[in-house]
Amino acid sequence: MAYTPQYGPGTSVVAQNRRNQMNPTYELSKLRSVTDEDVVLVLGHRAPGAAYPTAHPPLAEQQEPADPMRKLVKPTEGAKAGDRVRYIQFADSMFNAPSQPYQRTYMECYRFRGIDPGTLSGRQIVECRERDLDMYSKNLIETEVFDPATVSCRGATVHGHSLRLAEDGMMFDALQRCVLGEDGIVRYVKDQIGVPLDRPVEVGKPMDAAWLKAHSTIFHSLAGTALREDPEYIEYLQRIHSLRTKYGFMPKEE
Amino acid sequence: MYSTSRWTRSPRALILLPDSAFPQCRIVPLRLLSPTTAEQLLTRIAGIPGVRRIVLNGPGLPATVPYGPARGSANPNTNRRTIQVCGATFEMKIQTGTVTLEVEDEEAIGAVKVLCDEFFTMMPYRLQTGRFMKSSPTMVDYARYGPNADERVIGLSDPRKRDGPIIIPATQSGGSLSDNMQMENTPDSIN
Amino acid sequence: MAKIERSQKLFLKALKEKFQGQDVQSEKTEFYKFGGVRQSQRKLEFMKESRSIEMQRGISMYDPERCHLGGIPMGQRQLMTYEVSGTGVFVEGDDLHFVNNSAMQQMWDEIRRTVIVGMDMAHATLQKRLGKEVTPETINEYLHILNHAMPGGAVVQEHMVETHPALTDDCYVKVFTGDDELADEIDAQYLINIEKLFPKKQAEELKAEVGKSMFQAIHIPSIVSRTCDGGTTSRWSAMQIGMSFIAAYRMCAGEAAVADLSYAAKHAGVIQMGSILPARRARGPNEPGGIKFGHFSDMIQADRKYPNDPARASLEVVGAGTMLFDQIWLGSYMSGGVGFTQYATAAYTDNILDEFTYYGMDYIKDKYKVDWRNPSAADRVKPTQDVVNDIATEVTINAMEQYEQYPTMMEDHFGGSQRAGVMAAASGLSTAIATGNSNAGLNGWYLSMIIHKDAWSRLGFFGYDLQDQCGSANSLSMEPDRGLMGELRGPNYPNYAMNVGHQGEYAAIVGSSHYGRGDAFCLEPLIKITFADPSLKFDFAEPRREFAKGAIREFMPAGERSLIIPAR
Repeated sequence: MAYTPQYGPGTSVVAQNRRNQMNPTYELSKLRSVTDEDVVLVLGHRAPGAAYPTAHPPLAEQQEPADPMRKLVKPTEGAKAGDRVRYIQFADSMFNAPSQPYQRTYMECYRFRGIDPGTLSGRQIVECRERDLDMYSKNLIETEVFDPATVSCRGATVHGHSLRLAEDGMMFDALQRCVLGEDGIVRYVKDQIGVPLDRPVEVGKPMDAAWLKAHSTIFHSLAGTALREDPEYIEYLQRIHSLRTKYGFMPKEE
Repeated sequence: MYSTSRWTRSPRALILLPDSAFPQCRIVPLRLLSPTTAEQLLTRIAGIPGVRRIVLNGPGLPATVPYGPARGSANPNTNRRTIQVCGATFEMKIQTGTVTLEVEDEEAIGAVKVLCDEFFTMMPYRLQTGRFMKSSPTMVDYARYGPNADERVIGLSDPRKRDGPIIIPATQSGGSLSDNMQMENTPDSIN
Repeated sequence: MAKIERSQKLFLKALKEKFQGQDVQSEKTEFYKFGGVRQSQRKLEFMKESRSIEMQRGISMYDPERCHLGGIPMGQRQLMTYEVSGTGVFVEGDDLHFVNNSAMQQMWDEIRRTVIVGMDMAHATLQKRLGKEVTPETINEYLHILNHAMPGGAVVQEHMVETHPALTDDCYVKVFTGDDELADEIDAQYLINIEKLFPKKQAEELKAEVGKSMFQAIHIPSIVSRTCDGGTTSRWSAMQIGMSFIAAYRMCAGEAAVADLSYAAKHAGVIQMGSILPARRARGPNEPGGIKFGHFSDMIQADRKYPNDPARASLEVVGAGTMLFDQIWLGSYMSGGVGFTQYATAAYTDNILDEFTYYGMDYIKDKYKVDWRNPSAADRVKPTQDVVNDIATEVTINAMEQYEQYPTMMEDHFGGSQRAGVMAAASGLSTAIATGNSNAGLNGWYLSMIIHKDAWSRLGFFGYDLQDQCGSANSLSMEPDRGLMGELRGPNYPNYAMNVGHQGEYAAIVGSSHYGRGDAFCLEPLIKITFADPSLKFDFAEPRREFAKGAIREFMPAGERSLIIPAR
């Protein structure tokens, strides 16, 4: 392909982190291990070990009409099996969480297939076929786009992204889905919607402030890198706006 | 005319003077406080003469899950625990984000600053002065208390919550009992 | 531990001395049992009354016995109290729900019950078709009759049933004209005196616009407007105008010329406050969805009162606009339930938007030498793309820094949509005041959204910025299917007719471009004059202050029905 995506402008560490995350050829470092069962527990959509409930019979058993689009777009494993569509939702603290709502959505669009992401200011959700979701969720929790203290898996009652952190450095969670133990390890004691788990799920130790600042994808003048420190980024934002404005006006080009 | 913002340190103009005659200040630590820290801080604050009223603001810690598929189920949370301040025992219903004080005079604010400088060693904090809490009744108070609401209670609790404020016994109320405690010799055996 | 024990023992000793004969370790004492608050008969009655209301409504009320104890009362609050910006009044969020606030209701009532009807056509008909004389005397006579008829008094017809004056005492008609001589002859009680109400330069400009014509500023009764709808206003008004002309000019009721007068009063000479809305939003005239931003900015009178503070005037339009368009229009007409109060209150509480906007004023003064305190059309910056980009960028970045450095500000505006609307409003106002161009101001708003979204990697609620992503492209477009001059846009401009957190601020940006130029009006001088009338129940020069009054139960609305409901 002749076109090489640029992903985004900017010279700052924040801009580079954003590009890294979006670029599917960049390997996201694995920082912790969670088992498949752990993921299923936190998601809370089915009991571990249970079969995937289906929304329709497997595609192989259906007579699909002849369609060039169906030929082009290969179904994911979940689609082939006829899984129902389920979700994982995150809240990200503005205090240098490694992933942020739109950033996670863009990253997911570059790295995952068959997804439907939704982006708000207090939460970001991705919906897809259940077995695909299990796989993606594991990736989203194990790698550098997750930090146990500043990123949290929350299905509802998400308030916390814009609040100061608690004394122990954890993002506020009214439902206290995860707890920082005396040993410094964060454990999920409830699933993403707040139902207590039969056993805790360990997600490792919170990353330190220096790491967070170096891996942040948000500009923050107090805790991290200020937007003013990245004039190239600002220049490109203005450029996009100016071009849209100009061509909305539809000037006659000489 | 424009008002001084309570947020920043750069006043732009005179404040439109409020209905309350008493000065207010607000303690804003850089982190949300644990119940233990809140307990310690409040105990110290209760010892400052001239503190009239206190409001703690912060995100709520509901007893049951308020929304979502698990709505209505119990919500255990280690932050929602009972603390004791000068003998008054109560459950923390919020995680303390700010402590707003209404005081008798400016001197008390000075004492609060001294206390905070000494207390907040583990994190930075800001002490803001200005207006932060409601002191006069509004529609919501009329609906709740009727036309003769007690002014001391105004603004201390969330509208539509059924509970009211708690009373912290002031250890420096200036009453004779506390004087006795300080002045009396304390021999080992007492009858 | 030992120390505590010792002081406890001392304490007990002191108690024993004081309260002889009592068991001091008991939890209850007999000593002070005087009955407390129960000594007062009035208080007892009040408590009883409170109890019964409590029972009815299930809300706990006055409980004095808990309150008068020694010690420090302390409360825990999840919700913040809000200061209504610029007023020093602290209220709860609930106090600012439009259902709980009579001032907000009255502001909207005032607009809905108002219509402007020209008199020139009627006078021409009388003079040319009927050969009757129209003089200041006859006009005064007509106005006297009209002010009897408009609230629902009968003229001409026999055996008519009438409204009770006490229910309709907020209904009246005044006139205005640019003709000073004629104005002098009109009975003062019926005249909106442009000279007296406006600063000199603005008065001259307005009078020049109106010229020798005369217009009626009509306000039908609030109680009627609430029972019916916005479409009633011009019709109710036309009925009574017709009857009054017939009476005043001794016409035969129903003679052919009456049709000319009716047509003029109902259609040809009418200026509605809001246009009708087509299907999907379907409403009649004088409903919020049909109010153009230029007209709304003319209704708000803060620039008349603060001609040297266009920022202040614009902030008042923000307050009034977000209340009307977010809370009432989108939050009720177009949806309902709890509504959208906090999207609106973010823009008019806690002086946050005020802070950001005055920062913008400082910036345009320092960098572009705009003397914003002395608004003048000549002293504007040319609205090039670079200038717009620069002002909007600086104001937005500064606002983000304020939120970042003052965590309580971030926690006050806990929602992204609140922050987005406030930051973009400050950017748009600063740009519009500096350039005197409403479309430039809107353009600045959209750049703010783009910068904000990328800086924090978040913006507002799901779909908040749909219109903002289109906005850069349509803000300078005048093509009929996707563009329009700022003043003519409104809540039903296609891209705007969907989300909260935008419309009120747009109205203010449009207004601010004119306030920044010191213009006497934004779009319609007749509306500007009509709402300058001091007899209106709601003070359009101080909307935020009025909302605060409503919140503390100090605002008296019109159309109260106490007269016709059972006495308690």
